[in-house]
Amino acid sequence: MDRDLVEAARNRDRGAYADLIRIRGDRLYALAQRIVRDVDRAEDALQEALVTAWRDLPGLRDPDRFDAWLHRLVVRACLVEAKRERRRISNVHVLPIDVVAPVDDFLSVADRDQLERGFRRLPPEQRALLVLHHFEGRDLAEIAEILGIPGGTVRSRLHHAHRAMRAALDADSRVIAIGGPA
Amino acid sequence: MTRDHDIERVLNQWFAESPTQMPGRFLDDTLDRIDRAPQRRLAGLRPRLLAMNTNQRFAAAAAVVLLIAGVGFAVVSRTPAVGVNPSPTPTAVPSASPRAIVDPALLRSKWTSVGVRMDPIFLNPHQIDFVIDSTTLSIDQFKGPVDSTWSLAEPYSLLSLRMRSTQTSLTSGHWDCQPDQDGSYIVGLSSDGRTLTLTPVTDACRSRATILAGDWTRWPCPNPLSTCQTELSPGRHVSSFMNMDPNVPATSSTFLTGYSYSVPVGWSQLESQNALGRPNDPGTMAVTLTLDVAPHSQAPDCPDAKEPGVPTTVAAMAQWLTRVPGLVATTPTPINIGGYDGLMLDVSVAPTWRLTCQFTSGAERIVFTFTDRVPVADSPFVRDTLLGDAHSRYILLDLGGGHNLLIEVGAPDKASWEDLVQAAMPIVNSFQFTR
Repeated sequence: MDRDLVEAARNRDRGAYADLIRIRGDRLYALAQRIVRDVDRAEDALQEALVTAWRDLPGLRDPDRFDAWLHRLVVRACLVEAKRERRRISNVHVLPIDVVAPVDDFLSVADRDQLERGFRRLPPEQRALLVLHHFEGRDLAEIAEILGIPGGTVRSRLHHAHRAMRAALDADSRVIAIGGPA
Repeated sequence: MTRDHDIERVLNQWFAESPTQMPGRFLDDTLDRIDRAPQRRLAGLRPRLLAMNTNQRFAAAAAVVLLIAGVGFAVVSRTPAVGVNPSPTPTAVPSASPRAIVDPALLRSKWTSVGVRMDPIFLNPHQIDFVIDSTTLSIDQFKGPVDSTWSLAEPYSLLSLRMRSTQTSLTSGHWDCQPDQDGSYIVGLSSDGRTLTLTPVTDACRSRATILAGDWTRWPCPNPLSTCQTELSPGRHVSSFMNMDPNVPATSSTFLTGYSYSVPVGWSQLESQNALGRPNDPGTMAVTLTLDVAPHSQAPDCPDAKEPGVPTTVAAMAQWLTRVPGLVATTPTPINIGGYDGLMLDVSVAPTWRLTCQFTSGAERIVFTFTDRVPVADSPFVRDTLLGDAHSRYILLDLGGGHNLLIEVGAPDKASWEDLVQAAMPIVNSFQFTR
């Protein structure tokens, strides 16, 4: 059925395209939010990707590649948006934590703050890689496909991202330890 | 937080905490933006297909010239559908500062709703556009345009509409209307011509009246199909290459990272594209830059592949283009742009050429020219094609290290292309590149 929708959308049936993105909207929105860490800019990035996808659909050769291709577009749009963040004064809206915390909640408010700051310091590509791996649960091969880089590169970058995240968190811990109340 | 934390477990939980549902309005906003997005030329196959579809649409519109000189306003046989006075003699013009008599020529434009309108397809309000050309008022809808022929009665500035869309399209779009249904509206135009106000007098097509009633803002660019990007100020500008394509190793030192150029008035930088556009040009066909191209396969089954046996050097690709079946190409001539040597040639599709591929939406006169130099197994797009009457000037520059840059000056037909080349070449010659 999805293939039919993709083929219809490729032939400029906007209703079919609406159905396609309605099905995938929440998942893609969640992905975008976690990469750019800002509600408004996540919407901007996702909308940009969806509009681009609509424009470019007639050139999509294989309808079965639609999901991977759309995912890639969203990630790319998020990378662009995340890179813009560094070039402008951003009115940052920290993501509201409006979901019920997991039962095994072992993260403190301070932990989350450190995670947020550490994550924002990462290059956008490393952010995307972490989100694809830890949030979407994608394996290295899938991430390689989405990001368009070799599997070995994904592995090394993931390792580097973990190390950078740890270093960022440790650095924040040191700042808190040094600058914290006596 | 310490090093002892299991960073993977931490990240798993942290990422799971944020919102996972898009806002309710988001989908509607996105679909609305898609509705309003002009079908512009991007790069490669899809823009040309879009341009063709647009041309076909307007050609079809022009072919059905139905002047409605005698359309009556009294529709006694029809129930007034919008709950307004069906009197054919309006007594007031609705706009705050309208002209008493509206020049029909001033109505020809794209108009964007001030505020939102109820969409009969989605049954929710969002911004809607319509275009008025010489014969047709075309409401941009998610399922495609809903067209009515129009005329303007003197001296009351009374706009008469007759539904021209087929019952099939109306039904598929959930419009509660029939072909040939008439409507009439009082027209008001603000003194600066930017705001159009339509007040229904009567309309048997309720959806049309629901949408059209109210104020509309004139599309700021003369060409309703243009991207209407913010114009660049005349002078020199700097742009970065959009290297988000994973096929392009943006970090390679052999690659260009940016470019600068000088433009006169009227040019724009296309959003998220390595392209310059002229807002007033049909289809906004203009100048595009593509890093690292390779000859596209000419096999009849349209495979997503490079043409075997053709090197990706500038000289080899330029010579290859002169031999591509279905492509009419001039002799490559040397050129230097921004310090890089290259070859320039003009190309178009032979009038007798026929090639149909499954994904070209029925287009037959199509020639595949370029694909990615760096092979990627799942690359979903060809990089460039020529379709129908399109003409292009290809400038292939040798960047060294086995890399190349394609500068294309393209337009959907020969006449507009010739004009474009004249205007664009000074810009092309002003390109400077940064690594």
